[in-house]
Amino acid sequence: MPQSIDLIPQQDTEIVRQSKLIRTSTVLTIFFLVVTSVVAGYYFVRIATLRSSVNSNNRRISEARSRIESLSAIEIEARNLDARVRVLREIYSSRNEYSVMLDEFLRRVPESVEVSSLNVSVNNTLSIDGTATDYLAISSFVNSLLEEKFEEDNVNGIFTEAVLNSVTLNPQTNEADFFMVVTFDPTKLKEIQQ
Amino acid sequence: MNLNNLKETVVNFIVPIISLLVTVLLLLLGIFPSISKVPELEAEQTTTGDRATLLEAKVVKLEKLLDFKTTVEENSNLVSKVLISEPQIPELLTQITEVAEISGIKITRMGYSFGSVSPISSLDNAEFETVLVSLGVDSDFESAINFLENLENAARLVNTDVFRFSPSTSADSENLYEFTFTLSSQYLVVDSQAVTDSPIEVDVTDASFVTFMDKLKGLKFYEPTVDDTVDAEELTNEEVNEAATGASETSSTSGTTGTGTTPQ
Repeated sequence: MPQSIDLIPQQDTEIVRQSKLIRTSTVLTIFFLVVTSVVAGYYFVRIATLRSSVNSNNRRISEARSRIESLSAIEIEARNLDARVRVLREIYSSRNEYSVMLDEFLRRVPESVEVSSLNVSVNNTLSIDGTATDYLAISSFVNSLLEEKFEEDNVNGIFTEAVLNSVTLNPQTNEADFFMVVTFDPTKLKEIQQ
Repeated sequence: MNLNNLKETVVNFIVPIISLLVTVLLLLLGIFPSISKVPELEAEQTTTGDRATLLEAKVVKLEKLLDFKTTVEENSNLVSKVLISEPQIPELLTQITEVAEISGIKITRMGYSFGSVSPISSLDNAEFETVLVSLGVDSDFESAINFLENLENAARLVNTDVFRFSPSTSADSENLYEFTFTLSSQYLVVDSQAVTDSPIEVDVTDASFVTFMDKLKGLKFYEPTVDDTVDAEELTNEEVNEAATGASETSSTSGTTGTGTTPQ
């Protein structure tokens, strides 16, 4: 088997090895330097762009503020108007227009029934005292109150429940006195909506 | 000897050493601080951008309002008549009396009291106040409906809270009923300030706003003069509530600090 004999002197081998090391380390560190420089450059440009954008925004803010301050009189008037309109909308949306309900109620009272007193409560109920010619008239009254589509009805389903609390036959007049509580739907009584 | 070796090594590795130093400097002084700085600047850019956009939108809105200055003033004037700033009780009672006269009903008693202060859900730190009016009238059904309608269509805001009726006890009141109404009229002190950074939400050209203002314009304006005003007694809230519930009749002489009753 042939033997290879290294005839290069030891000193030259060392020089070659050192030269390789220098070259490799130079390439590597320059590569890292380039990569780091690119990244640093990116951040430099990014920060400069962001700072410029923030400064530009601050200038816009400053200009807008000075323009707004010069229009403070109209701003105050607009805010006052807005506040009043908001409150009015709130009040109108919550108030009951009882003219609609009273009109609708009286239309539904049959001729055979006489309502002697009516009391509207804040809990959306009507307490009704009255007299009817007979029991059937009371039944007819209750039915017409709860009828969804009454013949001349403008507001369907305004009365949602009618509870007959008492019925007493008056022996002298032979008429039936009654007391009932009727619940109405307040959403049907709100004309001006928000 | 060693020093010479070191010098030689440094000279040989001068490029990698300088590159490494510059890389480290770039990392320490450039990249690492930037990593934390960029998100801060991005957040600042977003914040200032949003604020600038908001303020510019406000400027556009204010300039539009300036173009519609006459409309804004007319609308402000209108809503100030509907929702007034002060109780103006004589004017309120006169309006109610005029409405009653127009509707053909006869006032038998009238008293007022100051109601509770109510918070406004759509406005922060704002409250409206209320004047309560207890009103007794003799009327037939048709006139009572007319009265309620006219009251609902009156420009100064008057709400009917509750009402009741029973047969009239007056001698000359055949087919008449004795109605008792509890009315409330709200008033609101508005004293807005210009807040530069806060947006303005009112838009006088918005369809729903225009529709609402048109409805207000359709209301009937009663503008009583001082000579027209009527006196009525001031009642306590309990007396107004009693009149409303019918628990006990409100006496026309039961006022606490009233100026006397003037039945119409």
